[in-house]
Amino acid sequence: MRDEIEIGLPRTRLFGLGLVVSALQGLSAVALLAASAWLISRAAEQPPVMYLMIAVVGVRGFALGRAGFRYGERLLLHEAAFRKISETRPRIFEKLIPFMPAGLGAQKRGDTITRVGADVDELQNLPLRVISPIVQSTLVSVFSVIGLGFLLPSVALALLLFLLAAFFVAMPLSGYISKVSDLERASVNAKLASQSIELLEHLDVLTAYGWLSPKLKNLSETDEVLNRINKRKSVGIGVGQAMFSLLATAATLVSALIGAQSVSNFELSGVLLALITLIPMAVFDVLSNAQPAVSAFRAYKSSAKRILQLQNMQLPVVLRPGFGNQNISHFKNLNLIEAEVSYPESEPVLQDFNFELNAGETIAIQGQSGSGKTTIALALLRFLDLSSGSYQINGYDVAEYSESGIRKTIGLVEQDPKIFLGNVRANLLIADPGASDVELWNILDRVGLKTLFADRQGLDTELGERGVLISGGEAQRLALARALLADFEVLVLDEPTANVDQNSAFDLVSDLLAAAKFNSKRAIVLITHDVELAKLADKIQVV
Amino acid sequence: MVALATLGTFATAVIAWQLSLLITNTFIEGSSINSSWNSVLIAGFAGIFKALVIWLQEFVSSRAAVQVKIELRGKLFKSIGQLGLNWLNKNSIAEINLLATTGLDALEPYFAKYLPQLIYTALVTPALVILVWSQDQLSAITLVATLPLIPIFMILIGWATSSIQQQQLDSLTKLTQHFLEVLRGLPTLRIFNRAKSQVQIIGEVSDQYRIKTMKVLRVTFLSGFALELLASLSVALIAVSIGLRLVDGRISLLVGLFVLLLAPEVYLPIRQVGANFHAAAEGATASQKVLDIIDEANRSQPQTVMPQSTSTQMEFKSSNFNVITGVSGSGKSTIFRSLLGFDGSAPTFKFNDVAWMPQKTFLFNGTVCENIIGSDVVDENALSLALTYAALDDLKLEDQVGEDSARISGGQAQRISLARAFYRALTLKTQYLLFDEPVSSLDDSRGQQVVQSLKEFAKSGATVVAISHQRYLIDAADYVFEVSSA
Repeated sequence: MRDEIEIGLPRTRLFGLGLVVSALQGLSAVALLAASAWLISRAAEQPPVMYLMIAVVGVRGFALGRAGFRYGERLLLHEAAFRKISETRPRIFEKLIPFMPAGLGAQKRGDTITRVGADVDELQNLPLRVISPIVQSTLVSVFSVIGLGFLLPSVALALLLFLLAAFFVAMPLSGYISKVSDLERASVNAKLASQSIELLEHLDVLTAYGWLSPKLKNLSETDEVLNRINKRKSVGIGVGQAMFSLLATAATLVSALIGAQSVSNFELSGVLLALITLIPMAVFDVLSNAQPAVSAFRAYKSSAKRILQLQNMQLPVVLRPGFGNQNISHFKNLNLIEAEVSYPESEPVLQDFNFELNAGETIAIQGQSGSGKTTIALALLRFLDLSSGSYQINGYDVAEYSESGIRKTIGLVEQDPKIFLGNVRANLLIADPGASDVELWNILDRVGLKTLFADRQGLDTELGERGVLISGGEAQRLALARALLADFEVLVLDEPTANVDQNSAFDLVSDLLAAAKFNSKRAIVLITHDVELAKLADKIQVV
Repeated sequence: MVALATLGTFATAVIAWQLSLLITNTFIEGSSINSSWNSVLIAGFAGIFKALVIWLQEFVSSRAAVQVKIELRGKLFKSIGQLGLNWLNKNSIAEINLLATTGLDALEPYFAKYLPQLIYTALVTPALVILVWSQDQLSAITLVATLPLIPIFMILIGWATSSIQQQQLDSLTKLTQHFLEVLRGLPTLRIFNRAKSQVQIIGEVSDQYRIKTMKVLRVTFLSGFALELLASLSVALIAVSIGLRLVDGRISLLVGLFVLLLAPEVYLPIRQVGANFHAAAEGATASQKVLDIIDEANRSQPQTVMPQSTSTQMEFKSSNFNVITGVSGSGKSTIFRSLLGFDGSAPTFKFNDVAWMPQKTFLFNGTVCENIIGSDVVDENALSLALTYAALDDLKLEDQVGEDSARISGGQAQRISLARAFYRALTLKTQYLLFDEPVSSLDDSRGQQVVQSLKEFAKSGATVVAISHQRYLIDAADYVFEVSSA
């Protein structure tokens, strides 16, 4: 519970100031009504006007305060909440780094995106909709009860009881009624979101197969469930508000009655009766801001819980390869000896695997889909540690080398390489931020993309969402260009030709071989299911 | 709604009157406590009544709001289906998804709070002003003079903020997009040793978003400030004026208190309109976007543009195995998309007469069987045939494919996609089979098996067209169409 609050709570002066201003705002609202009531009652006794001046000034001042503090409070609190979120986002991203790509199965990715996006956004509601209204209501209640206590302790006591009823009966009750529906609603919303994205992303297949209308029906069924939940929830909201209104009226009437009794007994001056009656009314008005706090807190808590789960996620051993501080100055060779590789919490994908690669060599790893070829790539890059066996580079255990040393030396072109939203230049510069345009064009020439982009807007050609503006083969070539630009001494190509036509595939692999020979150091690991393509390598190792 | 609003106002007025009566009687007349009991009882009943009305109001309006939201969402998706792929390709999927989910959620406060409050304001405010007028003209005049300022301010500020609201929605979309991008690209970023530097960039982007949003809020909150200020200053003005007139004896305490109690109530509805304005503006922007899409769907007629040049030059023969090949980027997949009408041209066939296997495999999270048949009705014969044709021999029908096909390999996913197309061809007896890169992820022996299946369909009279650059598939073709770039 403490951690859940901690994660969304801005412990800053800004937030503290926001809370103070928010309390002042609430107190101004109560004081405005109290001062008005006193002014009118006192005026009814028809004193000289100068006796009223202080109240007149007070009324105007509190009126200004109520509006001005409100503006300041909202700005301060929002700023504090947003700052807290800006801190949290990168922390969570950082946490996820070692899990990608080997740790989170693709099935978890959608969930993770929801978490980092929506859940982190939800965190702002703790300071804005939970803490600030509750602190404001509590402070206003305390000050009002104390203030009334000086005038008439019995009224103060009565108000206190009604306030306690509001805080500890009405608020939890309406919260409880809507509790179940809140939980259900969250899961239905998640279902709705996944159905919606599936429909949008695969509209072509759904249309061609005539599956669009059943999918639309599923969506509207989910919406119907949401509707039923909402209907139940609306009962809860209404009950809460009605109870608040009832308590407010009751507190006002009881105060009026006690006040009237005291006036008839000459225990209270009649001038104060209006004030005593109206203060409870004003306090309850402020309190109504805090009414949605319970259900806001619950929504917050479930998001905070998920974020905490993510933050406390243990990094499995195989995702925690040890790194030293050596750099690899010149790659000479690498060895996998009796290697066994497995994903976290699963059976080994690969066992007793031996592999040797020397500088300048090109070796094909050929095998059927599902035989663990990609896993070898992940292990070579040390995204995944061996669960047994050894892995050596230049004769030393890989654990001697630093992570950046490994990254500089061994590169990978993934089977489904990520093309980032943006232009060609931005996508290439990921590999080498300092590269000049001339270098970029040279690289594009080498992978056969020069004319394509020269005909469009050059390096500024936009690639669109998920690289939709270029074809699968072009995306593959661009990813290859990116890897060449990074100038890895060892380059692993995972099914580089899955979406490239066969003629070009041969050309492309020949290009790479030529580059390797020219450099005389670059070693290439070609992962493919294609026996013909594998023959282009110096050696073939079948898995 | 109207009746509820009127009843609620009536109860509020009764409570205010009884309280004023009680205070005046005790303070000025020195009446006994017994007469106070009368007022308290009447006000108490009015209070219970008022609470009931509030409950009903909330209940009715929040139900209506969700209903509207669901209706709009249904229409939105139907319209997207009508507008089709050509339209969708021109828009960002992330943006539309956000609009259909979070964007439409913003409609709820609009319909549950903003609109009812607006109606409420239009009804209750004049009624209360008339009530005040009957007791104290001067206060009523103050109200009448200040009230119109509120909508005027709101309109002025609304003009200033509408473009800003748009900006806020845009920056939210951008932030979401950026996150999806970096998360999906995290493996790639790690390969290039850039993941750690992204941590800082995410912080910076979040900060930029915060600064942008705060700029928006500074203006948006201004409207709230103006409302609050006008409301509380008017109450102050009325209180002071009543006070000063009481000193001269030009007004009675009873009337003074009654007006003082009613004055905030006059401003309350319009203040709540203002309080919900921020949320409502977001809802209004979202609903405008949705309505635009629905309108577009209603206006759009199926276009009758001729298919793109490449496809018209090819004549695919029935009872033959036709293969299209060519360098990547020469628009081979576009030929199929054009034939299917996905690029805005008129579809060449009826969907019922085509079994299309797309290049990019899409499976939904479910069993192998569900992914193949896509409905509840299963034709056992066709299904087992389809499995054989697609060389899907290493998965059970009830195996789960997992989200994003995570539980199966790429080759298995492609073979499920093949089985799906074969099943369709078998059950609907389609004349056309359009297969886009059917063997790209398959090993040679299974690939050969699939080629034989395609040839068998051609033999039985179907028009089979495959796009491929796999040598053994091209070698098996009856006709080969070479597509050169541009």
